[in-house]
Amino acid sequence: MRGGAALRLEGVEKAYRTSAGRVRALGPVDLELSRGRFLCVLGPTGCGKTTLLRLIAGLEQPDAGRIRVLGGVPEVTRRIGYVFQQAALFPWLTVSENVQFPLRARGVGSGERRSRAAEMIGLVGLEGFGSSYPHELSGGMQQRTALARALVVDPELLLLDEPFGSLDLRTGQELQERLRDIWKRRGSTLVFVTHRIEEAVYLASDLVVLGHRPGRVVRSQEVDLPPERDRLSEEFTELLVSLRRTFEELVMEEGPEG
Amino acid sequence: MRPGDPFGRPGRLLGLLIPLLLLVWWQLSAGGGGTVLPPPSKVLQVLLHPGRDLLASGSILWSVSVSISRIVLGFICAVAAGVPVGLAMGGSRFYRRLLSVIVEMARPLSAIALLPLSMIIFRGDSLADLMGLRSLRYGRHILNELGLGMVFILFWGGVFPVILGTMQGVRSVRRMHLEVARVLGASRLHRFLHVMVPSALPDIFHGLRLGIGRCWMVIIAAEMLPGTNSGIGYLLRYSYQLSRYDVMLACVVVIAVIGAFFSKGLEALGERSLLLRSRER
Repeated sequence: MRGGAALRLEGVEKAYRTSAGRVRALGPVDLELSRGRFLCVLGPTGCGKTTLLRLIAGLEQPDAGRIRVLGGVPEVTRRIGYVFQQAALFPWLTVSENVQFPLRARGVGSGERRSRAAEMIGLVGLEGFGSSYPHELSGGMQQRTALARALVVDPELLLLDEPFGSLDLRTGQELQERLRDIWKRRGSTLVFVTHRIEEAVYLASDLVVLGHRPGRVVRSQEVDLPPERDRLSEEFTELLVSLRRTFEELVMEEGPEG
Repeated sequence: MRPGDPFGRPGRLLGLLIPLLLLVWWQLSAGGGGTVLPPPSKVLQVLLHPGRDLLASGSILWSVSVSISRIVLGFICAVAAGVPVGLAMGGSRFYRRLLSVIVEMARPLSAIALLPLSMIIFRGDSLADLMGLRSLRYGRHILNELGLGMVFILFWGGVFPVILGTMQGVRSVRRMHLEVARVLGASRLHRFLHVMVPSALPDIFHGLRLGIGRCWMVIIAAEMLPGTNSGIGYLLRYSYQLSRYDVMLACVVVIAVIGAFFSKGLEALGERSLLLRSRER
């Protein structure tokens, strides 16, 4: 089932009702992504990135436009994984039990559950912490657990909402490397939302920049960098600077308050 | 030294010292006899032999067993009804609107006030009658002492804290956790059993604690009223009527200890889930 579009958005719009009246959060947005790609959605805070992910996941319905996900209408399905901004672990479950949660929901037997969870825990670098509770973990370890929990069912499409946003630089970079490894090995499709330009340049095979109020695509491109990325190479910094420029223009255009 | 305990150990010791001194003073002043209240040593004598039938109306041990059996039965009914109702009210706006009218009207009605009515409705029947064991009628058997009217008011006393605690628990489930469970592929039932219930557990236990505390107060008061001739509350009143103040004070001590035991027991049970949730984030 590789090849073909994983994602297609046409004229998608979304508004929210707030106490200040209707606020247009997104759109119209057009977007297309083939299977097996790693898309990073870059944009300043409040540009509707999270809304975009929620629409794709089927957690919310668009006000206008059409969305096709994995060849169907967006719905909360078991083929899609989602990692939230906060780890959102279940505090009454251990790390291993948290990772087993999606398997348990699918009725997988306990033996297989445990071995698959152990494998995932290794993959995100949490060996030895399987029986710890979330409150005993650092933020980075919690986010690793959340990643393992989303990956354990091997989703065809994985959505990530600034998952490393609150981590220190080193932990963030290590997890970026792990995520890229996992993507290369599994060949699943990833949509990764972030406001950090460097993170996006390091991770993405495809890049989209959203401007804000309402969020819309201001720049879209494939990333022409080698699979092994060197953060200090000339091409890397070039793309970084060019994206920075796009960001600056956005800010100038919108004024300081956006 | 723990936070919230500014004096630490010395404070606790001092706190114990004051009641102890009071007891000593009481012992010294009442020890020679001639006072209305017997000295603590005589009360202790009664407490040390809880199996003795001092007033020919049942020993302390028997009376306590009767009261506790009543509570257990009434409280089980309260939990069996209260938890599902609380879950329904917490989980669905429809049920919350439907049932909160009834709950809010019924809740302020004191259980004790319902005792006479309850006695009329259940005609003094006991669990023995309900089970068709009429032969027990004139013996001293515990089933015979479990009056349905009494059980009903215990149910009444316990059910509302259980309902409200459970509802509170369900309503305080974090939306984020339900959403995560949904995108991780959990069905409605799975989300209910594996996210909703564990999240609600600390509040449910809190409700249970309040409920059993209420039951204990209700049962003592109810047993002291006419129409009952068993239970620790009854023994308390009867010993007072016979001016056996040593037995009366022993009953008071027993009531206090058991009440604390109920509350602490449930607290220990609920502790784990409470700790886990409060440490979150």
